[in-house]
Amino acid sequence: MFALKRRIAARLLAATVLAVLPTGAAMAQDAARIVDGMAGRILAVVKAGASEEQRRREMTSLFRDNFDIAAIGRLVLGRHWNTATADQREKFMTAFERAEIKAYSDRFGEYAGHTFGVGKVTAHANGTSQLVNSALSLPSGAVVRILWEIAGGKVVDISVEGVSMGLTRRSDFSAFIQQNGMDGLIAALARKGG
Amino acid sequence: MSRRLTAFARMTLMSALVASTLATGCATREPGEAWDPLEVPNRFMFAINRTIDTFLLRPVTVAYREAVPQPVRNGVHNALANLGEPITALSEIAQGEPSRAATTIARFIVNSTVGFLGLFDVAKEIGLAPSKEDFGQTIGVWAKAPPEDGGPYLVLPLLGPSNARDAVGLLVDYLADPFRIVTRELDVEYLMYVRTGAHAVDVRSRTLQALDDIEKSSLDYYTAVRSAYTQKRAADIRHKGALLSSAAPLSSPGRAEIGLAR
Repeated sequence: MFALKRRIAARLLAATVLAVLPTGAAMAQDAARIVDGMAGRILAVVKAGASEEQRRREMTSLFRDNFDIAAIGRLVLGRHWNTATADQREKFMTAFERAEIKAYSDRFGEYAGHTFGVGKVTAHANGTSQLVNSALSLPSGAVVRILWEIAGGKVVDISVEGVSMGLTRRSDFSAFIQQNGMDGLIAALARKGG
Repeated sequence: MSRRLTAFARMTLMSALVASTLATGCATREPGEAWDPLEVPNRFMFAINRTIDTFLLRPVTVAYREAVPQPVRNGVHNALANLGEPITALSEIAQGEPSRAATTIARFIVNSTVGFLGLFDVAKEIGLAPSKEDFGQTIGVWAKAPPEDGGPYLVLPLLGPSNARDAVGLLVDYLADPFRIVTRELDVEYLMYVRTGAHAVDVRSRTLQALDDIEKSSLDYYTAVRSAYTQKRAADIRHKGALLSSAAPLSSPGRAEIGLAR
């Protein structure tokens, strides 16, 4: 963990030195700081042995501070966003946010004994976002690669070992909407969010 | 004889599937979505596999994780991974990565001897980093198509998520596998069954958390698995010649991509 901190510090220093050049380096620095800050908060909560209730509260504030939920919700609905009514969109957003927070807080409950490190930051091919490389080391010695897409200072997608959470959700929701309609999706998400 | 016939039947089935792929062309789907013209039979097979998993593979895996200590499980995993090195080396040669293939062959020699039949990954300690490639990935590297497009998505009996490309790859891997050929020549084919069983439990124990997570957080588990499988294979094909994530340094390039198209 200390080695990681040192590496991050060194990279931040390098980024600062380069900041005379364009804004790219500064953006990378911000993106890395966002991910590192979030990971620190999550691991602190897990380490403290927080209850499910506390974990969820922390996750809710973390999610609202750092995730662009409006952009994510729109993206995961794909073409169904265009056909949804204003009322459906609003209800979907509320239910989706709750379900995601629940899923993430359950997930982080299992992270005891894991360590997290932030690596290189690269610019996304779309020109507007930054990709932050990171790795979660499991007690078994296995390593899970997590890539964070940051745009406008907020997380818009997470990719785990090459699998984008946003894209997986979009396929999942699209199949569900075809079977159960938009209102069916909203109701199912509301049940998930608990 | 009957084995050859089965292999031939499988090959014919694959050709038929590939032909139907070409004949029907692309249906309307969102970009990045898996193509699944056989969704109805696939969902049926998925349900059967899931039942077998629930009543057999998963309970055995959970018991394995509880009863066997982590260092022993790591040893089993190393030994199984070692038996997979020849296929990785052949695939790396076929993908035009001779230096990676040389490292893989060196790993196989070191681990099979000094590493005591592969139980210990000594090669990694001396700087020979592991990689994993198969023939499905090789076809993906050769093909002009984007790696998300592996032909029609398939759910294979017992083997689970696949597609036309990866199913052909599995067949080639099976036929080219030196371990299979040697155990058959020496009349110790039961070793092949032992290895297959151990491999199933090892893979399942490593996907327990991820699959539970997908199942719990998804609304349509079948579709979520299909999407995750397609993306994972595409990422593996794009990163040909890359090290396994447990060996690659965080600063290494080539892992920066994300799936969500806009």
